[in-house]
Amino acid sequence: MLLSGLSSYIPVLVFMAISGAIGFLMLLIGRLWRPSHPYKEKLSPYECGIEPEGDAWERVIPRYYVYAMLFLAFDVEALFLFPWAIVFDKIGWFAFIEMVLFIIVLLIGLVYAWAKGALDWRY
Amino acid sequence: MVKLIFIILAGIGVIAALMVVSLKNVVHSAFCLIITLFCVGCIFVLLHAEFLAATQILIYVGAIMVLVIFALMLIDSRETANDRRFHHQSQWVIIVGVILALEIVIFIIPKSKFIVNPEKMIAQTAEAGGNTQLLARYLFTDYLFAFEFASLIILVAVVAAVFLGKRLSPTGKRE
Amino acid sequence: MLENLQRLIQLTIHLIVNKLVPLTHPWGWAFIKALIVVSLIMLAVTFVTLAERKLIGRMQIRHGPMRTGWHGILQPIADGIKLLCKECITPAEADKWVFLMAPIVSIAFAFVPLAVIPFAKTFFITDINIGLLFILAVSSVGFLGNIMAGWSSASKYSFLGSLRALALMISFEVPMVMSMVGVVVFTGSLSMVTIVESQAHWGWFILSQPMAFVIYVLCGIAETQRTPFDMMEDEGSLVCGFFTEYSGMRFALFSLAEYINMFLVAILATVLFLGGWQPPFVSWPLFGFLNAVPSVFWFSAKLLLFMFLYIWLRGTLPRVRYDQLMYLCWKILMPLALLNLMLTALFLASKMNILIFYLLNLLVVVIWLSIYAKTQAWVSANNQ
Repeated sequence: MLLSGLSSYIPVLVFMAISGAIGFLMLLIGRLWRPSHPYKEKLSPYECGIEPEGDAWERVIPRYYVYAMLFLAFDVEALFLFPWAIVFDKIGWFAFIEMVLFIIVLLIGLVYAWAKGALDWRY
Repeated sequence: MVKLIFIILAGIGVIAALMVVSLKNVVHSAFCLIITLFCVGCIFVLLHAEFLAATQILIYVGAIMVLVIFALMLIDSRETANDRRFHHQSQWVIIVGVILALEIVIFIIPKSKFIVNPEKMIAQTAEAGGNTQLLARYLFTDYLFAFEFASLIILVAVVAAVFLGKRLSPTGKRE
Repeated sequence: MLENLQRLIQLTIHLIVNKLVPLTHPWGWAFIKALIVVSLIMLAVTFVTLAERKLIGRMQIRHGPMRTGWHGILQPIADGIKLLCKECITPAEADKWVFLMAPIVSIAFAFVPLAVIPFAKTFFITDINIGLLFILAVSSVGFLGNIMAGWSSASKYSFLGSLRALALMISFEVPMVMSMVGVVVFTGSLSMVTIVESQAHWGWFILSQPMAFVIYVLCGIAETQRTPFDMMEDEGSLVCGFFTEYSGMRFALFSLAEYINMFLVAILATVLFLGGWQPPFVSWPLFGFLNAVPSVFWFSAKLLLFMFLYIWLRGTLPRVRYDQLMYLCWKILMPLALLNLMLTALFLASKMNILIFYLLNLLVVVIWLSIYAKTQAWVSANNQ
């Protein structure tokens, strides 16, 4: 009975199982057919034919982190827009004003980030 | 059926959560955390909280875990892999943890009221046209102030992100 | 002999359909529909790869594959067999388990969003309440397959490629989501079936949301890492991006996932902006007969048109630089998406004429681009 509301999710579950199984199956079929002759040079990381230099797991520049933080903030915002869009026609002008306020506050954030140069990708 | 799916999801989630705290490589821990958060999202679906489930997966798995992974790339995972797995205070932590858990089981759970009538709630949700519609209606009428306030909090987060990014930049100059 | 064979086949089908997978049970029916969708999409992917090579060849005044079969028609099958027989190399320093799981994660989460797509008037696997959000959520999990692959390969090119790709994908996700909200404001529902059906009432959303459509297409191309925005496969600097170390079937899974993601973007463009399975011009007089054509035809026609756009762009435009792409995302598309949303809300609340709305749209784009050009000029003048 509790399942009744969830019945539309059963196919999703089935689909997830199938798509996961396809990945496994394709790798399994490949494993049955393919040859395997590993040796040291073949297993070294590819660096255009030159001897690999240094460690791959190096520390990266923090700019990626800043972009991820900005993304997080704006993604939360974008998600808030969905419920607003759904009830928009029921609330009308009031909803419009609410959302304009919301968006303007976030535009201030964008303008701030822009003015501070956080959106410039410098090499 | 729902119970079976819940038990499977909760089991995977708890095992992955245990691996988060016990694995030596921090990046592996992050991947296990993704599994845990994903399972929590699926459990939200079982609770008919569809919008919350999508939010959980979109924000936590899709955004916060990306942030965590980028943060982990700032440190050298090889160095932390050689550290001791548990802190020397671990036995005290276990004792305190067990006491707190017992407290929850003995004192809090018997006195708390969980959803009184799930069928009624589900019917109410269905009447409103789904969980998202109901949530949206409340969000934009009764909890409007909280909603507008959320935008201010996000603004603060953006400012903080920009400021931190400036501090983090290797040259320290305008970045 | 032939009769026996026929009877055997009939018996097998009967056994499968009625005994093993009971059609009346929701699981069984979902299973069959899911199998149909998955196999059709895989078939489409194989032939789109061929079409891509042929079309790109023609655009560059050469023939493309010609040897296998008539005009190279069997090329994708030959490619598949070749990849199946290739050795799968696991680099010695790689993180074995993560390395193995990455392609499976990529492919699994690339397929799952297809579960809520209405492919035809009556054919969809399921219709859930939060369809659009479900697609966004699941495909955002799929991104993590990239970073798993890039990190676990223990190769600099893979690692850098995956970081770049991930940063790019998350950046373009935001304007993309915002452009979709423009459509949801009209429909008032996130269910994909409702979104398609409401376009019979509102007209295709490409007409009432032209700016959102352009933003969506640009973001979609960037999300799927296609030329001119293919930063992760920047051969000049990154060799092959995050799957540099992958070979054989594992590589095949990644490229399959990539093509399915392309299909997903095209399908979403079709469903959200181009009317889904609805035939064009039906509201006009004399065009009613178009309703007689099966709706799946219209769906696939629009889908293939969008796929052609992908290939066309790849054959025409050179790759842009990474920082230019980030400019485009954060400084042009983001504000435009927000402004489009406000304009759309104004349009719906005030019930203004659609021509005035178009004019406002155009005005906003022009004003925004001129402000942008001014600020860029100012910034570069200040830097010198």
